[in-house]
Amino acid sequence: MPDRRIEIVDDDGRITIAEEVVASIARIAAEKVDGVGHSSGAPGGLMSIFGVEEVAPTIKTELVNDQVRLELRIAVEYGYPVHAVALGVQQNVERDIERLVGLSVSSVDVNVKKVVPPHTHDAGKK
Amino acid sequence: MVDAEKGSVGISKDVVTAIAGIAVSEIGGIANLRPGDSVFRRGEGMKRYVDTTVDGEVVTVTVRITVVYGVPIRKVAKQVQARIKAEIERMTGLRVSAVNVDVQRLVKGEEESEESGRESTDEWEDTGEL
Repeated sequence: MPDRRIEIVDDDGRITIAEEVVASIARIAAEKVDGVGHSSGAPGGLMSIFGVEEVAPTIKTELVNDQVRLELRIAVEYGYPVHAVALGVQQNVERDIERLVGLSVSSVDVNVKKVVPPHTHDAGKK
Repeated sequence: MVDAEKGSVGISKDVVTAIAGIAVSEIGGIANLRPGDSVFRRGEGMKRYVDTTVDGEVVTVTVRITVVYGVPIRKVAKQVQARIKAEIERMTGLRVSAVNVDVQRLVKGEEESEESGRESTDEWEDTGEL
C-alpha cells in the first residue's frame, strides 16, 4: 500500500495523513497488549529474508465519513486467552487512534491469524 | 505584487516559502523543519518540505511534515494550517486560500509523553523510524 493517504478536507485546506502513519500508531497500540505477537526486529527486514513469517500485527485502514475503520491481523502468544487479547487490541487501538491521530474510530476488526510461542519478540537489543 | 506608495514591492515565492517553513518550526511535535535544521541554513532545502503557489495575491501552501509519536496529529496539522496562514498574511499582506498538510512519516520522540502503556519507547529502533 505505497503512498495511500487518509484525507480530511475543510476550509483551511487539506490534511493528509499517510496510511503508514496511522497503521504504525495502531500497531504500537496493539503491541502494548499482553499476549500480542510482536515484530521481531526491523519491519519487513531480516526476518522475512530468512523466511520467518512476520508475527507483528498487519493493519489496513480506511476512512469512511470522517471515521477510521481498521482491520488488524494479529498473532497471539500461546497461553493467552484469545478473546481477551483481541478485545484489548480493539480498545487500545481505538483509544490511541482517537487520541494520537484525532480521528474517531468506527470499527476495529481483529483477525487472529496464528498462535506463536510466548516471548518470541525481541529480547535482545533495545 | 503589492502596490506601495512609490513603485511596487514584489514578494518572491521563496519568501513566502521561507515564512511558511519558519512558521512550522515554531510548532512542537514536528520532527522535520525544526530550528537548527540544515534546511534553514540552505534556504533551498526548505523546498523539500514546502511548496507554495502565488497567484496574484492568493497563496496556496503545501507542507510535508514528519510527526513525533505521541502528539495528536490532527491537532498539530490544524496548528500548522493556522500558523502558516496567520504568519504569511501578517508578514506579506497576501491572502492564503489553503494550507495543505501532508503527514508523511512518524518517528519516535526524544522524550516520552504521558504515554499510559508500559515503557513503549524501549521497543523501538534507535533510528527513530517506525
